[in-house]
Amino acid sequence: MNDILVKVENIKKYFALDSGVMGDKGEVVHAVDDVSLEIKENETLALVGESGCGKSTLGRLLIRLLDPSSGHIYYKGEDISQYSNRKMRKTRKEMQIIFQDPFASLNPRMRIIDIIAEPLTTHIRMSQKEKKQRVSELMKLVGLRSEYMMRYPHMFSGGQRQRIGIARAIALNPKFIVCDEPVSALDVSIQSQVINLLQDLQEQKDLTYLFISHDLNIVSHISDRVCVMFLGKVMEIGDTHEVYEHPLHPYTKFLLAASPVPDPHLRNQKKLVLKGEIPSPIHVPSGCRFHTRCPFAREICKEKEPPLVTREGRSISCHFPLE
Amino acid sequence: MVDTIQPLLEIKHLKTQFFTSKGIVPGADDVSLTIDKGKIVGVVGESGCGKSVTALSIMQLISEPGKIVGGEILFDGRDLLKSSKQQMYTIRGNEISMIFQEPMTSLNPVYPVGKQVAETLLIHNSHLSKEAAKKAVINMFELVGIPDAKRRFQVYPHQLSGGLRQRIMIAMALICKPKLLIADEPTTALDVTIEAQILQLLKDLQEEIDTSIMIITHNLGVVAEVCDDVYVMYAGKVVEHSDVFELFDHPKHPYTKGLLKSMPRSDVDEQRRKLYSIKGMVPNMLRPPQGCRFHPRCSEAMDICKKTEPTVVTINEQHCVSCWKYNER
Repeated sequence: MNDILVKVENIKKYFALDSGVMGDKGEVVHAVDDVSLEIKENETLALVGESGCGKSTLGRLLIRLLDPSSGHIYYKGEDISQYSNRKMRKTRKEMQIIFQDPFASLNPRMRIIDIIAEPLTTHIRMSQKEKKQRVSELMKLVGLRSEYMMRYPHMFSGGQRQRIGIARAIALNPKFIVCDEPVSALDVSIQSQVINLLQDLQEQKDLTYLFISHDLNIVSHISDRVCVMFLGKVMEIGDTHEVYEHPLHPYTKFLLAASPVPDPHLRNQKKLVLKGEIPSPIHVPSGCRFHTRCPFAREICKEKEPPLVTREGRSISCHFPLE
Repeated sequence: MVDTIQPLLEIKHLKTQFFTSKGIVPGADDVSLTIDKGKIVGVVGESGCGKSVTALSIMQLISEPGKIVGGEILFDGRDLLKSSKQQMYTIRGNEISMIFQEPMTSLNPVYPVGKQVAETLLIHNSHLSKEAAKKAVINMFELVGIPDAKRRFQVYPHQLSGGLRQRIMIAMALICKPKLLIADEPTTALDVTIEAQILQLLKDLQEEIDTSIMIITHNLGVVAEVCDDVYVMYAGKVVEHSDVFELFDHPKHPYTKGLLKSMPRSDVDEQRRKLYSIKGMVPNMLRPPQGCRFHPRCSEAMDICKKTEPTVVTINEQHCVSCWKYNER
């Protein structure tokens, strides 16, 4: 049994909107609303859900790029949610993030060597020679030619830039990496290269990933466990394989069914298409937040919010789980 | 009944080039493509492969420094490339219409959506009264599944979600009952549950108003879901063309095979297996590789592939591939 590396308890993040001109009350976006989960050492936990469900916000909260409105974050058993900046700085060496857009996440005016070495020079004193040496190693590790270290980001393709972002993320030998949609901006033939790289690095360096994605096919391939979010809440968490085989939450079932399968022979199966739109995270529906779209919703779903119940490693928040 | 399916659109040897300051980029290079009446045809490929350039060439919306330098685009018997500007005005939006990837940027933020859709209708049918146009628009809104259609006539784009905006775009594209609808990555910006709704809608509408649809996408899942025929493009060229079932069951071109193999799938138990990946990256189109453009990345490349461009080989009636592997029989 692996140890728990990261754990969050009842974490919430609300964003206040500017109050209106007429002096009416400022509204609040419930981005992450009372989420508790654990990430085990060396595993890949995938976070899936549609846009606006709070998955990126949660990812940022875990490494404290955002401060929670309330709740606790534990890293290796220590509550880091109230750490001072100085104390956090030390811990942060062990946590990194890879961003979605490889075009926006690299400073266009910096050379590759400086981009990759930035975390190193921030935390460790090193000579120019050492820096070059280390960057060259890192570049080789992610499959880039080290001769390119004096170049600028615009001289690289999307896939190569994402490799640069990965090299930067692993520069300090972190333990925990938040991968925020790391391949969704890449072309299909490049996606698989980057996924393979992430998996190789995980094996070589004993990394733990939080893998945020909306692509359920990629998630099934890369993750050990999966957490399905809807409107700031966890709907279901469990072993990826089991969740895909037997989703217990209606939302999970519809989400899986909606994902296009690259096999034309399966197209005429009765498709489950979820009706309606995603409700606003400002005016969250009462009771279960999924009830407005759920075909199985009954009276109680409109009134009472279902708690997240865990049984045999599977957590689910629904009054009437599927069989 | 004699089964003679008439092609609605026939592109023959289309060449569209971009004359940049650094040199000529062949956006679409000798592209031939046929869309039969009542069919949904998919054009797949990675960014920069020329799929959007091909679509924009049909509409003649290629802007500077791009130029269509050769080929024919036969639509319903006429060569669009020989049509005058005036003639194109009456065709665009009326007989051929297009929807784009980003529904937010394709709608005008300062006009109500209903007015924008009605505008299309009024331009092409000047005899129509405003009232009649409004009625037609509301009918169309209902057809594309916009709830509360009457009220939605008045709202502005920012008041709508991405899925509804895309439905507005589809309503706008279909309001004149075009013969051909070109959908350029229609679901890429949408969430999966909304994507499923939109794909279903396109399939239903295709049957209902009998429009042919050309879907441009990089997502093979979308292709498998809705298309009848598929064209696979790479570096400005069509490398394979086939019926959708044949393409997924018996892909021929190494590029197509690689794409299919490199996709992770949730319905197959393959966890922790290494994903197949096509080595290298898309070539710089200022200097496309000699011979077959795919050869530097191809695992099955032979000597001839490096020197001479492959010709199109017909595997069977529905299946053509442009690869040397199948040439020497």
